[in-house]
Amino acid sequence: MTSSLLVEFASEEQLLAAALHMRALGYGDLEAYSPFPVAGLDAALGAPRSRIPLAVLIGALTGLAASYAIEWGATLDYPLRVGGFPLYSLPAFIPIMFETTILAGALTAFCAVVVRSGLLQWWHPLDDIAGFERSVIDRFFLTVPCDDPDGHTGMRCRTDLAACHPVRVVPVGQP
Amino acid sequence: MSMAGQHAADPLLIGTSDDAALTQRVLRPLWSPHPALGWLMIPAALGSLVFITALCYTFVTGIGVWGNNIPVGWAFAITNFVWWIGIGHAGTFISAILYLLQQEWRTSINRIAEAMTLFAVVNAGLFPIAHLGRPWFFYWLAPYPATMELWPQFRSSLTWDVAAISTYGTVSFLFWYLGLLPDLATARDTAPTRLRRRLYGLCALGWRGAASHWRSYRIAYLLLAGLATPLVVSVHSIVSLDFAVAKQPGWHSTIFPPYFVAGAIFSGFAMVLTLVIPLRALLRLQDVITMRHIDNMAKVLLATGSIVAYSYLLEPFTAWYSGDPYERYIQLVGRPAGPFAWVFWLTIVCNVLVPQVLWLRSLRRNLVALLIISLLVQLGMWSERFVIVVTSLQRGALPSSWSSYSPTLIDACLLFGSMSLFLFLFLVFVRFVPFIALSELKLLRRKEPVETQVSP
Amino acid sequence: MSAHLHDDHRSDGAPHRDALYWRTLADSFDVPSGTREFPPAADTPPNAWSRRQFIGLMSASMALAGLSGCRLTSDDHLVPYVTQPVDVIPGRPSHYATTVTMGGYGTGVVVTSHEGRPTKIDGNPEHPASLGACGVFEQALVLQLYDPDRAQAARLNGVSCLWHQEMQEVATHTGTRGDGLRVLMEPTASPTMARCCAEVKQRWPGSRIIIHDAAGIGAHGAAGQAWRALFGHDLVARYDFSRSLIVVAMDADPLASGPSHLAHARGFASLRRARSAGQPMNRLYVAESSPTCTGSIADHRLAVSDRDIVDLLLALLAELMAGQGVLCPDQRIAALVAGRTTSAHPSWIRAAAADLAANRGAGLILIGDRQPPLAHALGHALNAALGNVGATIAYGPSPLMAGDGDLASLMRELDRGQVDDLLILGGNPVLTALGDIQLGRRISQARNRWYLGLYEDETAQLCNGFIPQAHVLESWGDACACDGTRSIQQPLIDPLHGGIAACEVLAALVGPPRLARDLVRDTWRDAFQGAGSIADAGADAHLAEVLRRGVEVGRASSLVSTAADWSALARFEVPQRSRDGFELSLKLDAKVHDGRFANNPWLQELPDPVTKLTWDNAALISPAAARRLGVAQGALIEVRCDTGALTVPVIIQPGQAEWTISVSLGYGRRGAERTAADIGVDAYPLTSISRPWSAAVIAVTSRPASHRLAITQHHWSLEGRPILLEQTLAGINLPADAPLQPPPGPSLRPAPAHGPGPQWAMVIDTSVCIGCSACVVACQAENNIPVVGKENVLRSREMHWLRIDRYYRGNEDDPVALLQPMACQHCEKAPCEYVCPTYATTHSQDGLNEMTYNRCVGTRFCSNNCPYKVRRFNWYNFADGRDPLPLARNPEVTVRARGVMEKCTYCVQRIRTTEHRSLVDGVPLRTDAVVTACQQTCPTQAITFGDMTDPASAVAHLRAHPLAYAVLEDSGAQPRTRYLAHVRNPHPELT
Repeated sequence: MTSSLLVEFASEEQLLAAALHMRALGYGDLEAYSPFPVAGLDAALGAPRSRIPLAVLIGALTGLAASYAIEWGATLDYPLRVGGFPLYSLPAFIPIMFETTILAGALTAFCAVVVRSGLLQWWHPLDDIAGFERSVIDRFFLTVPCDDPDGHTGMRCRTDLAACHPVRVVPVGQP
Repeated sequence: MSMAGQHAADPLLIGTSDDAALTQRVLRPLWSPHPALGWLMIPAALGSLVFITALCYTFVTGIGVWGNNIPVGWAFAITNFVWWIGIGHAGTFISAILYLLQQEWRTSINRIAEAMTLFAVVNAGLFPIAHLGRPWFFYWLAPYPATMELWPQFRSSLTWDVAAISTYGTVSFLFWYLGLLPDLATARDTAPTRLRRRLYGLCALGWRGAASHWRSYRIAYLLLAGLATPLVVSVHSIVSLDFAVAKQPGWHSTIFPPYFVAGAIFSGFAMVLTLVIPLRALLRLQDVITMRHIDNMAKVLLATGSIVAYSYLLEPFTAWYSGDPYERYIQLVGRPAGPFAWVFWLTIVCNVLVPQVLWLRSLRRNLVALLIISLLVQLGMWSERFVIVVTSLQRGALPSSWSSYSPTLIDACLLFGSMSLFLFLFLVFVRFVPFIALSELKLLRRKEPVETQVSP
Repeated sequence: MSAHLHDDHRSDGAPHRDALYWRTLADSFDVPSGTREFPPAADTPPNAWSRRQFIGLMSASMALAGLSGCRLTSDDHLVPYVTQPVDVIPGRPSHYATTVTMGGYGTGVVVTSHEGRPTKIDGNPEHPASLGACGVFEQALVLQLYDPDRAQAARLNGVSCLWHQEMQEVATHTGTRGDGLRVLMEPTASPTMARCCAEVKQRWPGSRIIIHDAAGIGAHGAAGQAWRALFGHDLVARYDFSRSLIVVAMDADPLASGPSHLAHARGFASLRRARSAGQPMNRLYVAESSPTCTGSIADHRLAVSDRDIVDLLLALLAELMAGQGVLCPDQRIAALVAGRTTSAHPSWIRAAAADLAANRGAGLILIGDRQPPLAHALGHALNAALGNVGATIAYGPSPLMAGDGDLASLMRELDRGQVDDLLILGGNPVLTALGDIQLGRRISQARNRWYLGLYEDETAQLCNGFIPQAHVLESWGDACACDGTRSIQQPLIDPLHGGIAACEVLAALVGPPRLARDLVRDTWRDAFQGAGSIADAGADAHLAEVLRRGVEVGRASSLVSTAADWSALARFEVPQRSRDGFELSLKLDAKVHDGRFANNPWLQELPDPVTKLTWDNAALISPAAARRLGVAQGALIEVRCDTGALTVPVIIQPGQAEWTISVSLGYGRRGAERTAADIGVDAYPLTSISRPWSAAVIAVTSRPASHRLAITQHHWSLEGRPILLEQTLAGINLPADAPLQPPPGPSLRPAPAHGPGPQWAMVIDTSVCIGCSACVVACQAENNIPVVGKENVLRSREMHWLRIDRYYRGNEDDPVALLQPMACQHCEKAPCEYVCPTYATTHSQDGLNEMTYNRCVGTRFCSNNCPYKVRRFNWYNFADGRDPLPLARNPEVTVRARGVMEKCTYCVQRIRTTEHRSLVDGVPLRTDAVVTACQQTCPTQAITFGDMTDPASAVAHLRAHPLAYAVLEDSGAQPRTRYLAHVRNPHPELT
């Protein structure tokens, strides 16, 4: 049975400090919520290096290759004489190749955000906690998983958190 | 651009020290809209109706209802198209290039500019379709596996155009929407009614400000900015190739790409000013959009205006230096003295002379003057495109085919109707969408010194 | 023979206002009940007929026409179209030789017919007045045939009637002598008409045949008066331009107007193609008040008022006698000359006189039909003195039927109440009669007025009886050319509206109604028997042969010898010395002629060869006059003359004589024709018996208003661009000369490789282009080019694939005109192709720049990028046409829809047809086998077309000539159409 605690802070400095503190104590799978990106939080939470840039690069190159294939292939598919140009008119292909590179890269980037952030999840257990909506207004939250096999049900976790000056601590995910 | 060095001059944010208050401040127009905007909506909606009617009439009857002819095969529609797409450049320029250059002052205006871009691109995208002889076959310009196995002709700059405009529209939308997600979530969680919570929640895609959200968001936003930056430069360059790859004297010019891009940013910033100055006054946003923003935008106007002026100088020089008699005629006789010479001179006045007054600091901070200047710049930029399109075509290589052009009522309806549609969409945007990047503002509040007094 | 002989089954029954021939057969006539009249496809009356529907209905109704109870039938057997006739192959057009007439004279033509539907008219190479070429009027007749405004029913006093019964009624009450019977008709050179008229005269000796022609050509004009006075009888001068090295045209336009202009142009061009300095080349002097086609190609053109021509002739005579030692034919002429030795144009006179004297027997002096008899007499004197008569000029008997009087005599009889029955056979005299005859007012003095006309025009409106006239393509007839060569007019189609031929009306007057076909056959049988043969069979065989060839070849009438009676000079009025002040010069229009073609959309939209004006007439004034009057193009001026006043818009015409205001006749129509309505102003009221072609201007006042003139070309200067190159004969020095144009600079793109097979190319010789615009109409007819109307021409949206560009060089008051036919140049590196986003315009293997209409979305980028601006766009559904106009379309050519670009295809349908034929027949393709429509009709053969890779082809030969150049060679587009530089032959002392 997994349960966790939602900890509310008044400022981003407190959040950052709490995240560092809890991680130092060995808590893993921390997640923070804030109305704006807090500098240093990712490092504090121990997030791995994002693979989105790689995905975007692959997406962009796919766009480039696809448009080149379409342009050259379409020309071969129906070889018509046009304006005395050679069939293989590479310079004329470049603008579209450039545009599709950007287009595919941008689409990949957006989709990557949706996929990597687990968006399109319109309901989350946290949404049921009154006051959590302030995470997108002016409050900072930290969720600490307290999966406690000893049956202490988060007591130690609460004790550890007390040092971080939370506004309040709410248990989440109770059955 | 060295605006970053002027932090001391003016603050970028005034008076609010509290995130909750700032949130309420910025989202207030969503929950208690300003009545003046509602009244403005009526003429804008009527104008849009005129636009749609004129468009339908054109579709049903044929583009003979316009004034176009042979040799002036393109006229108002393409002028409008180039003008709108140019206006659409400021949004992405502000969002992407200023973001990469870490220009903090972009924050309060970037959402407005991006929305403006989108609506300008919507307008711009309509005109090339409407100007087709058989608009119902517009999709033939896109590659798709047709039964006849016939594909578009990729040597034509019009197919490049299709790729450029659709890419630009898509990327601008993604960029805008990605940046909007956190603010839509804020709107969701501050909305006064259940329905609005549902609707904004739906649009927010389940954003709840998690660190993992922000991590992907920031990387993707940076990457999008990086991708959009060359896009901004490329789109108007490709649009300019619609002219530059042609043999038509007056079009066949290598300076067109940079010249068009400068003009685009020029007209785009003028449009941002045109929108922001009244909006700022109406919604009392002086604390969020400060004189610093206004001043910086005026400087961009001056800088790009000067590049445009330089291009104007270069164009006839290149023509003269090339020795090409057709090009020389267009540049040295056809435009300054031929039919529509007055439009040419109007362009010179609006785009070359008028922006130069912005060297004066007092005028850069005079909102009424700035509004007038930005309106004149837009008039000038429309005229410039008209001059390029029409005065070139009406004076081709064979004097026997020289003719002129006169627009019809439908042409006028489409031009002013498209402005109405733009205004309508913008008003809808201001009414329903967080039009200032709230989450970025909260971040900015922590970086910038905040003054408590609203400057005049 | 052919299917068109089935035309006998004419709908002479109860007429119906909407009697569109086949569709409403059942409405109008008694169709036997139980007969299935139409095939199933025809159950619902179609509004817009497709070609397929048309053919279906046509074939069925041709068959059923025999059943439908017409009154007039012959004993010919009709073959139902159930099994296909042997001589009709669906999809393959038939060609029939026939004759069309203008001013009475016949021009042999070959009509193309698609499944019984005439679509195109070309010249008959065997006919001496055509030689294979065709003018604008002849070609536009095919559209006139299908004109929806054509009259469709006979009527008497507003009630529909049976015309032949009414004619018999007229014959009954006319009495035995017929003193009150007058027949007013157009000039005719038809033996059948002459026979019918003779029969009328025989039956009613008191009747009179009056002949009226607005054109005043030949026997019915001033020339006729001069010949009758000088020689005592009518004659026709035949000019041989192919032997005339010096041509002096005085107020004459022999190359583009008049019954023999096609032959003149051909002969003229044969001496105009000098391509090296040693070749013989003619020299053309023209003196005229307003530029004409002939004036446009003149080596030395003089802009003089019409009234100064006689002076100029006298000065020329004086110079020849005094300066060149030419003997004057008669003392009375010398006396005339004596008074007029000075001229305002001494150098022109001197040069012309020197040239004429140096080329005795090889010169030609032509006097225009608008000039007074004295001018014609002086012209004859000049030609006779120079030995040209008998060398370049031959006099033959006039083939025109002599009448019993002119309109002026009819006017007097009308006033005296001597006319009971007036039968008007075509010609719309109420419009075209001279102003002071006031025929419109006087005509009602005749008790009974019958009019046979194509339209319910001005004359029809004043006549109580009306009979719809059969179109020239609908009826039998015959005609003579100027040289007396006889030819037969055979119908191509059943009369669409139950029209009647003029000879049938005359025949119905004297006896039982007879078919035109029988009348013609009888005439020709009689003539054949009269010529010494006896057998009917021989006559019929002869007739069949004439029908097949369209002309009785080699049977020109013999020449008449002439000895002038110079005492007649005394009878001619000698014009006064030139007065100051403006003169109003009236002329026949180049497009609507005397007004008869005013309802023809092709001709209304055809740019005037000189002014490029469409859908209007206007007052042409010189730039100097415009400055003096302070008026701009399009401004309205009121010209007040001694005969009346006219408010007319102004065109400032370079080359117009300073004191002449020219207005063309035939506009301002008031008939029921819808196309012609509200176009231009009617100048006929200003004409008078004493001065048919001019009026003295009392005052010219400019009105504050202006009028929008739909002119297709606005700029007349070459701006120093390499568009139209010129060379003088003396300047050509072959073969050492470098090409006229430097080759284009290097290109990054290599020249495209030619595909296998022929490479089509065109060469246009600007030296012989007279700008007559026959090619423009030919192109329009061949390629289904729509008419767009005045509003769209005003917006520069005319659709002509081929236009004739006109430029001026030099002083605007006396400029040199330069003409250039301009159509798609079929560039090898076509700028239009690479900008098309949908492959709608591409290049074929044989070098054609092709339009794929189905693929065109209408971006118009191709047109913007075309340096020649020869592409045309369908701004609306221009192809929509009122029924039955679309029937004139060529089924070989796609009809273009709205939103689609189009342009010259080099007549690709003709190329492909020829290629397919050669494939099917297994014979190699001859490079000269493909003839484009413009090339086929060009009177001067200025256009050459063929395979440029075949060294034997004329095109390859001409392309290699140093005079050949490409327009805008510097654009690098490598056009396939090339031009030969305009070679002029100026007099050395006048350059």
